[in-house]
Amino acid sequence: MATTRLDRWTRVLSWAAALSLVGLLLMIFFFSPTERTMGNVYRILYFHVGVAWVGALTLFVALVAGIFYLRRRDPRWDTISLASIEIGLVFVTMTIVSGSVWARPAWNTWWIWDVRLTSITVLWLVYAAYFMLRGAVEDDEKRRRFAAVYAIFAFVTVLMTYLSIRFLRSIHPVVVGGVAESATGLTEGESEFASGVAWKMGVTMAVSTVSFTLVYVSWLLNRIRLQQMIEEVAQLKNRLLARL
Amino acid sequence: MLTLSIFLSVLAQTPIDDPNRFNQYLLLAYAVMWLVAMAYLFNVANKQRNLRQEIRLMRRLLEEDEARRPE
Amino acid sequence: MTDNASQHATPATGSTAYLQAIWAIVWKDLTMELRTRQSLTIMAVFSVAAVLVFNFALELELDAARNVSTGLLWIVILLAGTLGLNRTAAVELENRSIDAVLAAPVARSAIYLGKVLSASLFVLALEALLLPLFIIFFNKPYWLPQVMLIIILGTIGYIAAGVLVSSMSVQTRSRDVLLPVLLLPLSLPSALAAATAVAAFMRPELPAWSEVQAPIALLVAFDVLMLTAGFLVYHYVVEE
Repeated sequence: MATTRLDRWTRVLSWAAALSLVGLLLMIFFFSPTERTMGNVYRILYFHVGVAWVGALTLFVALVAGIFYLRRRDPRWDTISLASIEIGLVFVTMTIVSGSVWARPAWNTWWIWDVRLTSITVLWLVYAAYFMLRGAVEDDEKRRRFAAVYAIFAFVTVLMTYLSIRFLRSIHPVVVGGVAESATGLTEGESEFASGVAWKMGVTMAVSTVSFTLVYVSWLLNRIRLQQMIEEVAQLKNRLLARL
Repeated sequence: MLTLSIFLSVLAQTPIDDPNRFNQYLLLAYAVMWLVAMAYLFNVANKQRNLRQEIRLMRRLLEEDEARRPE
Repeated sequence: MTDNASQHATPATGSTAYLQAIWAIVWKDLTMELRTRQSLTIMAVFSVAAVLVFNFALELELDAARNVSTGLLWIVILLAGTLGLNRTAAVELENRSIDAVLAAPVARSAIYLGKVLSASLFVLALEALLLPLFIIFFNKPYWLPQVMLIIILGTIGYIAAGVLVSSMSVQTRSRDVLLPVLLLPLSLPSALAAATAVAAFMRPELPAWSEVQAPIALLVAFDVLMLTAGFLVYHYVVEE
């Protein structure tokens, strides 16, 4: 099959993402400082926070693509929405597992039903349900339309997750001390880190966000190509059936 | 003498916080994330491979059929 | 009246006409439901059965029962609401009454708001039944006006999402299974915030406002977001 523009961009971005990740790993292990209380394990957070933010970004893109589909009715927007939610779900999964592994040394438990973990689990369920909805609708046009509507509604969950984590203190009155709370954000956790090197953490975190955005875009293009193949197969099938 | 012995015993029982004591979790986290990502990519690549085969097969079928009965 | 009346219906002009349209929908839903009483019955029966089961199951641990009663309340409301919404949407589809409504030149968003209002009234009626049961069985102050306000706020957002999702799920193959799968995760942020807020009132002393302002603010945010989203996209769900 001839190399299309999509193929070329996919390859370029895949390389960019890979290189970026390598650079990020180098930064994480050689550039960013060692944390006082927890030691080196806090470096999990660079990946954990990075995928979390980019995951939210993918779900936002899915929302926008859904809106564009409803207004323009071009199936390509639906493809972008579908691919973004698929990748977003993978990113949220990575967020949950990395968060859980972080929780074990930080809070001495693999899992706890506090606001953060509960909200992110709900988010995962909401977007997993997206695929249930798509599977339940037979008509192509209706499936795309309903999926777009659901993508819009589901993003409310993303907003609520963010708000809940920001404003709802833990459901349990007494969980653990400052370490748990300071894992919320770098600004809060800065007190744990030797002052004066916090800017290095910020830079590394920014690089992490950029890297995972590149990962997202490269995966998105790849997934779009897969969708194009699926459509081509469907078209060929129709043509074959027409000849019978 | 008493204070010195108390001080020494306390010092002996307090482990100096080794920054590398949780490194197995660091490794585990990266490993699991990598696995999840690889599982997804492998899944997509697999689907692409199967579809490519199907497309090739169907194109060939169509060509043969069109050669036999050009409609 | 063109053939596309149902698709490009000119909305009734003027805000009075709009409100009249909403009221007409509410009235239609209320009269239909009061005639058949299908949804109300199924919600009431399920809720009472669930409360009784919970009560028996937790009887040995009265303290545990009282402490989890807030969570149980929301479980029952969510599940009963799902049953009610499913039934209402299914009945409407069977009767084709939804087609009659859509054929009229009424703004789709007015239909949506009307349905949200009527469904909320049904679920609020159910909650009026449930609260005395919870007061009696769990000996907790569910009569507090603040608690009732929180419950109303929680219901509105849930129904706002539920009306839209049930309108979609009823048009699919697996309608009965799909609605809870779609709706329950969507409503959890609201249910969690509401449960947190109500739980704060179940203690011997009333909580300070600073303690409950965050969950209540989240509830309001959820309600606004869901109502706005539903208001804007409902017509995409019922277009034919």
